Formats: sequence, C-alpha cells, structure tokens
Amino acid sequence: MRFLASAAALLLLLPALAQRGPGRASPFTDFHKQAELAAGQPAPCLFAKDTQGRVIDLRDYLGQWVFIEFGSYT
Amino acid sequence: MGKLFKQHGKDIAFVFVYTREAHPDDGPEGRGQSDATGGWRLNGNSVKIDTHTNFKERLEAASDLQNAGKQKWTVLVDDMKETNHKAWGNLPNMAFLIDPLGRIESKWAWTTSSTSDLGKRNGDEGTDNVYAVLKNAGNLAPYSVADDHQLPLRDTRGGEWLKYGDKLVVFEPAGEGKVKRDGVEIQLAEFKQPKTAAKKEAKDFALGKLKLPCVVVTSGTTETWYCTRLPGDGVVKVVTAGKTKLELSDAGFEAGKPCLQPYDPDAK
Repeated sequence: MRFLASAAALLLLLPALAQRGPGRASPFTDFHKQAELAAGQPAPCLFAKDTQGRVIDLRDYLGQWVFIEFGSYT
Repeated sequence: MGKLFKQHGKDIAFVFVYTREAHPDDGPEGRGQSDATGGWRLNGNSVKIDTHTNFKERLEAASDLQNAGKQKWTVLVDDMKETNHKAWGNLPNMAFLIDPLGRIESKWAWTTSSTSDLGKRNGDEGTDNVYAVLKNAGNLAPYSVADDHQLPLRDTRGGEWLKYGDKLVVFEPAGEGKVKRDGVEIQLAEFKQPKTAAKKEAKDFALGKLKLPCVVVTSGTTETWYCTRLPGDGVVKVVTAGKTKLELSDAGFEAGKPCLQPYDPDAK
C-alpha cells in the first residue's frame, strides 16, 4: 500500500521535475537548435528605421559582410 | 562590438538593433517574475530608462545610446511588435555574422558582456572567431548588384513574386546554386569579385507614396533598375532605347501577399 502511495506521488511530481531538471531546454539551447537560423541559411528579414529615421533593409547590404548585434541600453 | 569595429569598421558593415529594454526601471523586481529571456529591474543601472510605450520613446533612447557611446555604427530601432527581434531568435544579447550573399555565417547567443566575468559565468560565447572567418574570406571590399546581377537571386526564397502590370513573375528556389524565375531555371554562376567596382547610379523608384532605392545599370541602350529590397532579382524597371519595357506595379515575399506598404514601426 505504502509503495503504491509513493508511486502515485512520484507520478504526480514527474511533470514538475521534468520542468526543473537539467534536461530543460533553455532559450540559448533553442536558439542554437533553430534550423532556420543555422549557418548557411538565408538571413531572416531585417527591416527597421535607424536613429536618423531612415528605413534600412538588410538586403541593402547584399555584397558585403555584416556583423549584427541585438540588445538594449541596460 | 567596439573592438571588432575598430579593426574591421572600414571593411564590413556593423549594425546594432535596439530592442526593448532588458532591465527597465519600471520592470519586475526579480527574474522569477520576468519572461524566459529577461526583463527584470536591476539595482544600480547607470542609465535609467522605463519600458518604451511607443516608437518615439524607443527612437529617443536609441539615439541617446548612440550618442553616449559615440558609436559610429548603424543603430536600427526595432518596431513595437519586436518583429525583427522575434524573427532572429528573441535573445537579449545575440549576434550574427552575415556573408555577402545574405546568408548566416556564424551566430552567438550571448555577446554583450564578453569582457566581463559576469558574461563568462553566464555562458558567454566570445566572438573571437569572427577575425578568423574574415581573414579566410580574403578580400572584404563590398560589391553590388552592378557587379553581380545575380546577387539578389542568391537570397531568394520560395513564393517571392514581382508584378509588372498584368504580368506576374514568381520565384522558386530550385536547389543548391539554382533558382527558378517564372518556371525557368537559372544557374547561379560563381561570382568572382571584380578588381574594381563597377559604375552604378543610385536612383529612387517612385511607386505611390513609396520611394524605393535602386541601382541603375546601363548596358548599351538598355537601362535596368534593380532594387535589392524587393523579392527575387529585384528588377523594377527596364528601359530600352528610351522606351519603358517593364515597370513594377506590385511585389511580395509570400504568395499573394503584397509587401509594398508604408512602414509603420508603431503598429501593435
């Protein structure tokens, strides 16, 4: 009986353990697994205004190497 | 980024994409209350910025960032829907190296804190290998569609289309080194960088309220206008002996979905 109760409790805890365990995927792991962002794939669209208000498209840079960093002030 | 720019700023383009604030002063108190990729308040921030509520605030903050850091590279400001940030992986400090054909060469999940111990503890992925990649690339001098008319085609994805009046031209990638333009297969010739850049003329193509930046290439009596922002080969206009043979009326990156609309970064 005690064994059955322990087994039932373990089953109830399994989902929570799966989320907290070492195998839980982090955003960084997901980033490296994304097939569409793999080396050799066409870069995603990048279309935005610069600080002077000009609209810039990544395709404007076709023909040259581009280093792109994403981030914020803080 | 500063160290890389100092060494290669004359050869390659540097772009910083300013996103939502990772640690705004009006953000949640702890990491547990934030989402998976950040967004909680830090004590002792040297710069005090609240969460941007509109694009104007974000643009001003990005300008302050550029001026405070005296950054000479291009700073782009993501729209309020975080369209670019989400499309590229949605991490707070990620970076990418893009090759001249518009393809991802390398990527890093975490870079900004590459000089600090905190960054190293957080699994910092230093960008030191950029130097080796660029060294192997050899000549880094930029070229354009004037030097290689197939340049935009190499970046083409399935379903892209251009419309010239009643004529619809659809592009489909056909595999490695090939692309289909309106059902006709085009073999992409290996490009050899010219020793000197070809002459080109920059002109804007007006379509309604839009002004598309183009490169105009003249060969004999034929003038071809290319706009690399468009799908496929980006041919906007062809003029032969003074007569317009082809002129763009619509375009899209997905089947049936036009892309020629004014850009609204404040859209939510």
